[in-house]
Amino acid sequence: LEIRAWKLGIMLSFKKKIKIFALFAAAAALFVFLNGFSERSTVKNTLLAVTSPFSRAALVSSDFLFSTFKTITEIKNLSVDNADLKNENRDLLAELARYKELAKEVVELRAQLGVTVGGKKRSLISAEIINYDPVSLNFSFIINRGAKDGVSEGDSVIMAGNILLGKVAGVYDDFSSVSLIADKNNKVGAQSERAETSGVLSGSASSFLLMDLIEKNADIGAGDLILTSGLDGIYPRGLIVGRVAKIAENAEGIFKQAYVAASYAGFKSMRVFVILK
Amino acid sequence: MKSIVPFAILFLAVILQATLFKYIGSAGVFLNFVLVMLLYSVFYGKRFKITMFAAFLAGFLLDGLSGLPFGYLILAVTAAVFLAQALLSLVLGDSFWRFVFFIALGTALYDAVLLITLFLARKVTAAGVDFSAFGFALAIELALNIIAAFIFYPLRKWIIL
Repeated sequence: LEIRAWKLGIMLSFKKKIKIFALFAAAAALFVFLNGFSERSTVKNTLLAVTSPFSRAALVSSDFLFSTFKTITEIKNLSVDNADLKNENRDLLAELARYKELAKEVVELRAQLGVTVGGKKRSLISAEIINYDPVSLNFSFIINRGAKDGVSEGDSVIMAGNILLGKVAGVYDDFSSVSLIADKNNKVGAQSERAETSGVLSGSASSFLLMDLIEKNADIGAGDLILTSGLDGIYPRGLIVGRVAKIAENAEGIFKQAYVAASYAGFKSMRVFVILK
Repeated sequence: MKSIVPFAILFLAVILQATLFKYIGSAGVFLNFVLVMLLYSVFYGKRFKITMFAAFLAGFLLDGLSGLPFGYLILAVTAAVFLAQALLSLVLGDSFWRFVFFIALGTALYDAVLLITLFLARKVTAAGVDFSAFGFALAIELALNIIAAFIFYPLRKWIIL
């Protein structure tokens, strides 16, 4: 009888626990349900307004902490890196001089032909990263610009140097969430700078981005610079994505894949830029 | 005043998870500090209602900082904590290895619940799931959470909930 009474006690206590859980689950379900009624979650915007000063301070401190740690651990490689950078700088200066000559030539030719410089001018606004996504494998971050600043869903987000980070996936009044190109759901039309070989780029299971749907005979190799092609209708043409790390060829398939090391990998700056549509 | 302290710590934990802990980990997987804290409260704490409220609050804050639609993480965290609480009877005693086992069990439960939640949020499609990548991510997260268990174990005398 005692055992039965003890078991009954456990059952009753478990039933009570289920009731409490059901109450919390119902509240969560209500939030999910309310998402369908408003495009811009006011709750989320308010929550971000409250947490952003704290998360910004934590992000600045973390950034400083890890930059210092990285500098200390990499100090022995500094002289080698410095020599490499000097060589690269010399090559880049030579290339820059050549481009300046070409630019001058283009201006002169345009003047002779009476062609005006066309194309839509990009409108940029700067933003700051407030926090990263606290969920593993969800590649996104929050910035301190929202609908009030003219940001809309699908706007491209870049960092200094025209390096593509991702696109705006959610907009609130004062904040926006940005989905990185490492997200598997994010597809980017891309092409190599050298041979203009095109493909579709997305996140992969590895730390590289995967460029798929490349024609089997296409000219592409390790070290090639990958840029956005503009063919997806989301990202403007010519943004830097990364460099090809390796090529994966499937003997039976009609396409080959390239693993691309993202240029933004290891970026430290908290400042990003939104390209407004 | 004393009752606010655990929730202030929880708030700080959520902030750290979205900032500092993003720097520790690899391939987009990092230490789930908030989950380890909640599992610690389930394992050593005795107050079911407050633990569930803490799980709800943690989910609420995580939802706010996440790029996911609002509400899904509240559902995932409260469900994972409730299931962990229900399975607590499988882990008899409170020795260190039982605590480590419980953290591993809780992490696996959370990831399973989260995957289902992401399906519901349409952030993941049946065709798009890469189970080898998911398994790899779970392994990294398990390893990081178990390391965190080593840090939390000596604190068992100061249960926060």
